[in-house]
Amino acid sequence: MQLTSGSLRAALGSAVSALLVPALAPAAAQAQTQAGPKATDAATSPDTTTWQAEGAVLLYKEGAGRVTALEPVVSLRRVDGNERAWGLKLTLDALTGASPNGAVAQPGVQTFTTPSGKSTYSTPAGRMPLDPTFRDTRLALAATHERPVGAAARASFGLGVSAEHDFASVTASAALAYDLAQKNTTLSLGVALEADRIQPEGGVPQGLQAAGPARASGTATRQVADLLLGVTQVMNRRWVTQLNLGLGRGTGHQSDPYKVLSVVDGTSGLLTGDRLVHEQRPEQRTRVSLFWQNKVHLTDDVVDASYRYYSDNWGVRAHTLDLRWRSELGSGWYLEPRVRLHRQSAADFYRPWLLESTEWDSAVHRTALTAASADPRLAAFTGRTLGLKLGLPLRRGEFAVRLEAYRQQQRQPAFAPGALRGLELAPALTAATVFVGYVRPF
Amino acid sequence: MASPCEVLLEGADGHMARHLSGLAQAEALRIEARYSRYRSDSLVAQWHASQGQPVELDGESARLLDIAERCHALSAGLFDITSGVLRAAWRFDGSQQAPEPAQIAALLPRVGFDKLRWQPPWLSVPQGMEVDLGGLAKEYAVDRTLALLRQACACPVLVNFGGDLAVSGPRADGEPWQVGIAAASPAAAPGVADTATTVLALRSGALATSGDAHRHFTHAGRRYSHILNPRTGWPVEGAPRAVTVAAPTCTEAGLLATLALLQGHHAQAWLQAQGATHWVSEPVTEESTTG
Repeated sequence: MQLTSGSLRAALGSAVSALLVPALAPAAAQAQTQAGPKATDAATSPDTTTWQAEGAVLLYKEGAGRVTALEPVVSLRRVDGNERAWGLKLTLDALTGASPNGAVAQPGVQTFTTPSGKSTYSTPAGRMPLDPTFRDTRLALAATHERPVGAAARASFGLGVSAEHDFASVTASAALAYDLAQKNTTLSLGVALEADRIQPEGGVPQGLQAAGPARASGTATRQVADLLLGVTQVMNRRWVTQLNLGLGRGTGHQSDPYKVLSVVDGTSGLLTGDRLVHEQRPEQRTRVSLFWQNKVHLTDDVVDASYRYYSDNWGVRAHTLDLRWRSELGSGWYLEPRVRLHRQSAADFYRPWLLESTEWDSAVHRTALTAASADPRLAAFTGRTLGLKLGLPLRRGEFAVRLEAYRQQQRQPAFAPGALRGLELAPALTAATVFVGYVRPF
Repeated sequence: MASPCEVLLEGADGHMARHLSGLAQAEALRIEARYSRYRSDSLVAQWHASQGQPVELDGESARLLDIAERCHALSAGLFDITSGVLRAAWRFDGSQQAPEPAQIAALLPRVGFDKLRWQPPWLSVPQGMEVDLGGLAKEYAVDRTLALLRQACACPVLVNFGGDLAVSGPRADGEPWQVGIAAASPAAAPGVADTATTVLALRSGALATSGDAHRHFTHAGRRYSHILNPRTGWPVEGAPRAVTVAAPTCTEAGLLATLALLQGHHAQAWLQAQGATHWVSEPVTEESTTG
């Protein structure tokens, strides 16, 4: 070697620095070089932002000519190099079909006037009255933002608007998740606010008033505030558990402007007196929910088991059990069967009908009740869902298909008077759901 | 790269990990596509196809040629990226078959960095000559990949392309990365003891390993490494089976390791003289059975 040992290393070091200059040679290299060029910062930082696009379509169809819903969703998510995420989601909900209007079945044909008062519809004898003019298109836009806060916490924010021809809603939410114990424990606190404006066809009816042309104001408002407290704990290498406590309070107009109750004779069971009365729900709803979820990672498969307890001051108590088993089929394919069981008790003011004289006095068009509703969603019922989801990996992204069958059963109301005793007053509801979704990063 | 490549990250979430490994893979594939001698669509293949006409090199290729020229000068001609054509004569599978001297003599005129015309950015590769950047490309890819990942994420990262590796700094808790150097012991070689794996603690900088025990040649009782002396056309004699060097960059470590092996018997002494941190596997001295 012509060069001395020290100068060979120096020459080599400086030659390497010249090679790596555009790639930012590490600072340590400069200590070795004596006359080498300084490593300069790259003119522009490479873009480390990642994007993810998701498109999905959901088709929901109830049996017996009831509701059919088509819901396409498109969402976009952007995550930058500083772990800050932005998301945008557009949802379109097209609903058609018929929905129960709250009236009870009768042995003869019934004719109802639509809420707008412009037309009428008939219900065949012995059938549960369904309003077939239930048709709406809803558009919703939601924006989310997440960012790290300090070294151990993450904040998320959400803003949403939703509109359909008779209903508009604005939501805002904020949550903070705080990690402890090397991220084995996460505490979270969240707040969500919602403000709704209801502008029903035919105006906002006065509750517990005989159904007729006279209407009160054209719009009503409703506000909901929710608080969520949660703790997520990694129990061991294979098991993560989460417990959430939700507290919510809704004020304002809670009643459904399109729903009525039938006034029936206590002996014959036939429509009598004022015949149809607008429903009325309390102006305030306070709810508590407890949600416990577990995810267990078996050798390859993942089991997701959750239980939810719900209780509110309307008297509704519900238990929901949801079990999912994600079975890995290899090469990224998976099959996920699902079972969901739901049971709820009726609201205190739920009445399948109003009995003339005792629950409604047609002579004075009044009732002693402060609230009454025949909405089947406030009745006591059990719901069972069986579903299967298939996931297919693609070269970029994932494709998923989900099929679900739902059956809801309500017990036949007790003490049905007269003619009602022979009718099917609470038919079971069946529904099928098909979901197709595609997620793609880019 | 013809070897398993991995990226180790500390403290990144799944999303960042996928992003960083995507960056690493893209960079490795980019460099391979440009400089691999096995690809007919690489830049190097284009230089060979130019039939002696000058080709204008882009910035990155020019810098690689510059460092090859520098190392050629620093090693007094032992480091030569045109020596790849000598592969045609040698089969490094442990066989005892030496090529005919005439074979070597026919290839030598096609070897010699001085025969290239390198006037940046113009390179002329005479007909019949080949440029082989294999001794540079992998270590260079490690340094480039590490720089890209450091720009993308502040988390501690280790880039390892088939044993040539570099780290961004110590691990999250300040502790060094634990790197094991496994000395391969060919089962069939007599008189070879299994050398234990050495574990190094690496806080910063890079490691490169040169040498492969399976690619050696035995002739007349002597073991030759697969590193060829471009002046004689014969393999360098008596080099250690493997040399691992630590340096601030992987490229520098790799060049030091290669330059060391070119010294043959004197590899370890040379490394000591350079003040380079190094580990050398025991050179095996095979007893000649024929005396």
